[in-house]
This record gives sequence, C-alpha cells and structure tokens, in this order.
Amino acid sequence: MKVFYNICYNKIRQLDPLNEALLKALYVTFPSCLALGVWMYTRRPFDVLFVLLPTFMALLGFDYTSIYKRILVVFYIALLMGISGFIFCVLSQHRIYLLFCFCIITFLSFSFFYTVACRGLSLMVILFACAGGWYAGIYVFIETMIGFIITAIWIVIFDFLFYRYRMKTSLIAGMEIILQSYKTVTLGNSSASTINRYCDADYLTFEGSKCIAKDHHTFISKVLENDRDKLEYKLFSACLHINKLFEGKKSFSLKNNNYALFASNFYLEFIGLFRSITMFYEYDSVRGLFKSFSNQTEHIIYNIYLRLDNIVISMKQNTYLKNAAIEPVLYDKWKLDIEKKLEENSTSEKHLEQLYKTFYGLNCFISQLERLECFLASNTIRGYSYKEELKR
Amino acid sequence: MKLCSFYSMIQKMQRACCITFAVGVGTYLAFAFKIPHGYWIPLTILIIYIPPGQGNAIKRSSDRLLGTIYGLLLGFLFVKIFMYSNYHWGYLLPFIWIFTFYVYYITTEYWVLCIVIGMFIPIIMAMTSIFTEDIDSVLVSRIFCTAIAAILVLVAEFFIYKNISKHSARLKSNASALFNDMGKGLQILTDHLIEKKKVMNIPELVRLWERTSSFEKLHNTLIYEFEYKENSDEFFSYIFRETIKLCRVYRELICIVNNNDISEFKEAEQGLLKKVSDTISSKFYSMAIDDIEKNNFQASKDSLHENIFCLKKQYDKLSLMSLWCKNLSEIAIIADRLDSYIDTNIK
Repeated sequence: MKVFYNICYNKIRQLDPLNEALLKALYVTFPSCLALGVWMYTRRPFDVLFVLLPTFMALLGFDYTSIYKRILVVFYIALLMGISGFIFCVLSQHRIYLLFCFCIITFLSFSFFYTVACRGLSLMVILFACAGGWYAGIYVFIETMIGFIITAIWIVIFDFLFYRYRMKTSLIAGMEIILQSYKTVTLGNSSASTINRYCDADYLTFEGSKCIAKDHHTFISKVLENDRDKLEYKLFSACLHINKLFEGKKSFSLKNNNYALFASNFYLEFIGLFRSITMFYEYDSVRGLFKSFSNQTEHIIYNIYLRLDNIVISMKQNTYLKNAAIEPVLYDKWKLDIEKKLEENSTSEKHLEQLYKTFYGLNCFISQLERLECFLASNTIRGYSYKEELKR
Repeated sequence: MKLCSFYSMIQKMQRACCITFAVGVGTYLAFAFKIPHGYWIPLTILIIYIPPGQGNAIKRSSDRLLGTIYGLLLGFLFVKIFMYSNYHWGYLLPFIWIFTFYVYYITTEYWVLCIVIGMFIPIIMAMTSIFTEDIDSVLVSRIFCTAIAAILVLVAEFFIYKNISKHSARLKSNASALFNDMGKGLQILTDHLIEKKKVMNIPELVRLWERTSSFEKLHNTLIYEFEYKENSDEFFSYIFRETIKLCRVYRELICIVNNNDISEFKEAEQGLLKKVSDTISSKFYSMAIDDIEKNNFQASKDSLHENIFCLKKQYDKLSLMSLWCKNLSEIAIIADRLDSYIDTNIK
C-alpha cells in the first residue's frame, strides 16, 4: 500500500510540484459551486450568468498577488459587467445601435489595450443573453453584484486558507531545485531529468495551450545548444515563477502577513544561493585544476551537497535543522590552499580568471549556506520560532 | 535600434479592424438569425484571441471545435445516462469539474479546457433555465456557434489580415522595458558597490524583480513569435540568447555587490566606475527609446571602451574588481552587438 502511495505521490509531485494546479482548480471551481448552492437554496430564478460570472471574475483576479488588488479588480469587473448588462438590457430593442456601439468599443479597445479588451469584451458579450427591459437590466445588475460578493468572500477564504501553504511549498520546491542544480553542476551527476520535472510541470508552461509549451521546448532546445545553458535557463525560469509568489504579497490575516515576512527573509537567502550558483556554472571545466590545488576539494564539494540535502529534508519534515555539517577548519584550510595557488599564477590567464570566478562563487555559496543554516537552526519552515518572535 | 518602427500604430489598428470584423459579423449573425445562445459566437472569437496563447489561430480554433464536441458528448452522456435515472448524480458535478480543471492546469492543453467548458456550461444552462430547455437543443446550438466562430476566425486570419494575432506589438514594449530596467539596474548596482550596501532590502529587490519580470515578458513574446515560421527564427533566437546572457551577467554583478569585501574606493576610482556604468546605462536607455539619442552614444562609444580599459588596467591583479570590470565590458559588448544586430535586421 505504501509503495502504491509513494508512486502516486511522486507522480503528482512530478506533474505539479507546487500543487498550484490543484489549488487553481479549486479556486476556479468553488465560486460557481457556491453560486449554484445559493441558487438551489434560494430557489430564485437566477440566470445562468449568476453561476458562471463568479468563476470568470475570480479567474481574472487570480494573477494579482495582493488580496486588496485582487478584490478591487474583481469589483471593477463586476461594476463593468453590471453597468454594461444594464445598458444591453435597456437597448435590447435597438440591436443595430447596440451592434454599432459594440463594434466601436471593440475596435478602440483592441487598438489600445489588447489584453484588457480580450478579457473584458468576452465577459461583456455574455450579457447579450440577458432578456430586454428596464426590469431585467436592474435584475442583471443585482445578480452581478451578488456574484461579486460571492467571489470576494471566496477570495478572502482562499487567501486565508492557502496563503501560507503556497509560500511554504514554493520555498521547498525552490530549495530542491537549488539542490538538484548544485548536484548537476558540481558532482557531474546528470540529474537534469529531475530539474526537467519542475520546469516541464508548470514553470515553463505559462498559460496557454500545450502546443505553445511544446514549441517553447523546441525553441529552448534549438536556441540553447549547450546543456549547461539549458539548465541555467530552466533554473532561472523556475526562480522567476517562485518570485511571483513573493511579489507584493499582502493578506487580510495578521498571521499570514507575519508568515510572509518570514518567508521573504528566507527567500532572500535562497535567492542568494541561486545567484552564487551562476558564478560557478563552469565548474566542470576547472574541476581538475581545483583537485590539483587542494586534495580536500572533492570532500568540500560533497560536504556542501550534504548540507543542502539536510536543509531540504528538515524543510520537508518541518523540523529545526540539526547536525549542520559545518567544518570550519577544513574549509579554511581548503580556502587558504586555493588562494595560495591562485596567487602563484601557475596556469594560463583564461583558466586563472575562470578559477577565480568559480572559487569566488563557491565562497559566496558557502557563506550564504551558513546564513541559511543559522536561520533554519532557530526556525522551522512553519514560521518564526517563539524566541525569534520575542526578538522581533 | 528601430524598436519604435518595429510595430507601428497602423498595424495595431489593422489588427483591431480585423478582430472587430470577426466579432461584428458574429454578433450580427447571432442577432439577425436569432440563433439560440448566439452570443457564443463572439464569445468564442474573443476567447481565441486571448493572450498569451492567441497566436496560432488554426490550432486554437481546431482545439476549440474538437474540445467542444468532446465536451458536449460527455455532458450529454452524463445527463442522459446518469442524471436521467437519478438526479443525485448531479451532486458529483462539482467534483468532476475540479478534477477536469486540475487535468487542464497540469497539461495546459487548450482542448482540455474546451472539454470542461463544453461539458458543463450546457448542463448548467439546462439546469438553471427558467423555461424547460432541452439539453439536446443547447448542445446543437453550442456546436453550431463554435463552428461559425472558428470559421470567422480563420477567415479573418487568412483573408483579411495575415498574422492577425502576431506578438510583435508586445515585442517592442517588452524589449523597451527590459533595456530600461537594465540601465536602471546597472546604476543601482554601481551605487551599491561603491557605498558597500547589499541588494537585500525589499524595495531594492522589488525593483530588481521588475527587471526580471520584464525579461520574462519579453522572452514569452519571443517564444510565441517563434511560432510564426515565416518570421526569421534566427532573429528571435539571437535576441533571446543575448538577453539571457545579459541576465546572467547581471546576476553575477548582484552576487559581487552582496559579497563585497573591498575595503574602500578612491575618489578617482569611484568617478571612473560611475562614468562607465552611466555610459552603459545611457546606451540601454537609448536602445529603449529610439534613434535620437543613439548618435550621442556613438560619440561616447570610444570613450566607454577607453574607460573600461582604464578600469581594467587599475585592477590588473586578480580581484573582485577585475571580475566586476570583466562583467562590465561583457555587458557593453552584448549591448553593442544587440543594437547593431537589430539595426541591420529590422527593416
């Protein structure tokens, strides 16, 4: 049973590492279901719009990270829909005028605001289905406003329930990506397939059809011939995706806002690791030289990998970081050895520059890792510990 | 750089005309022939053009049509087999809906979304209708409207204005935003390096995020543009590769700023550093705006390389600053290459 569970769990993680797809499906479906529930309970003769609009409105507001902005956008959409629905109902007897006005609006909006035009007009068009007359117009307006209230309530509930979860999973996924790319870059272990799974799942397939996603991959593999470049690009895309979650996040709940502060601090350390990796992407080409400079190199590199692995495990298990494998003496000796050799300038200038860059990158990576370890030694991924809260 | 002339307002208006034609004809047909649920025609047309996947109209239209047919069939079977015998089966609908949306968000296949919509909307319509509306007639009108909409989109795409859903319009603005951010970013980073500050505080990061998100936007545009085989693929690949390189170099610069162990800068060094970064930034700004400032940059181009050479000479010994100088010269070279490449390739 456990084996079966593990297979399913891994498969789902592979397809949807952040559970974003599941959350988004829930986010999209629930407002309509809520509206359907209201319709069934009240037995009011609502139009089909009443059931469909909340989903459309929620979907259009999904991209906004701040909850206030999201509700404001949904309100604007509802207002636009309500007013245009009212006008359509009133003018339903003068369809030629209506068509003429609609064509002018379409032309102007597509000329200047393409994205807004597509979304706004596709919602407005649905209102053509409304019955004519003043009474129907007012009724549509009321329906739209009730739809807005349902959507706003759901947005607040969704934010309250899943805010922390989304941040936590993205931090874990981010650290996993760092771990895998470090492994690929330094240990020469081709685990690009593991990197792929993150990128194939969601990060590289932005909204749109799969044909675009497929073309995307064709494009990447055609344009970036070097595997290292592809890996770097994928890592970059994954980080961009995670970035979105931390951009301008604001919640109604104080607890969520506190967690956002914690997650942002964690994220700063994480992004530092990501930047440092960029400095030693070419490690493969100077691996031999590093080995010849110090016989501790391989040990240090493997040690960093273990430390990263330790961090990921503790994050997944929601525990404080224990046994952080810091070996300062060994590390200082290694650093001195390399610095000495670099000062000797025994290799060619090109290699020397690359060596220095890689060495510097590794140093940055290690110091960043130490900071992250200190952070996780006093806090779990759940948020600030009691001591930290007191300090703050 | 001829970014401004790359996609003119006239082309935008041509595109708007074309879409207005399709939507207008669709709406007219719906009104004139009193097609039941006729608003589905303009709705489908508008949805096909929704970005970011609005390119490739044939694929999207056929996906829409096929997805709708499959969805309607599934919906029909669900209602006629399960719900017909026991209406309690209807309570399963929300769960099926969540599951199918989940499948859509995992696969991001447009036809899966069409199946979801095609399956549920007619069922909900039949359920919530005040008059007893037969689901069969809803299904038939849905297929009919989708087919008309798909035909109208194809007519607009092939007979009125080719490449109606081209992404080039976004390329201009996105490339401008990226170059602007690159220029701004370099100035911020140089200031931070001199003042020994870290790029850690949130407002700074947000500013840098904006830069990366502008890269993302540009890069999405390039990828969608790639679908149009008649465009020069090499052109987009080149811009893509070069912008990726630029981002990498910037990341390295941020890493240096955040792990800066340089004791202090002399005044002359500071001046030189600022001068170089300002010149490169102005180059980026000129690339983002238009040709006017370009001439000014041509004049300062030689002095830029001279200044970089001076900087490099000062930090001849292997150090953090030599890395910084190397990155600066790399940025200057890439910017130069990009500028001249776009100049020669955009007609």
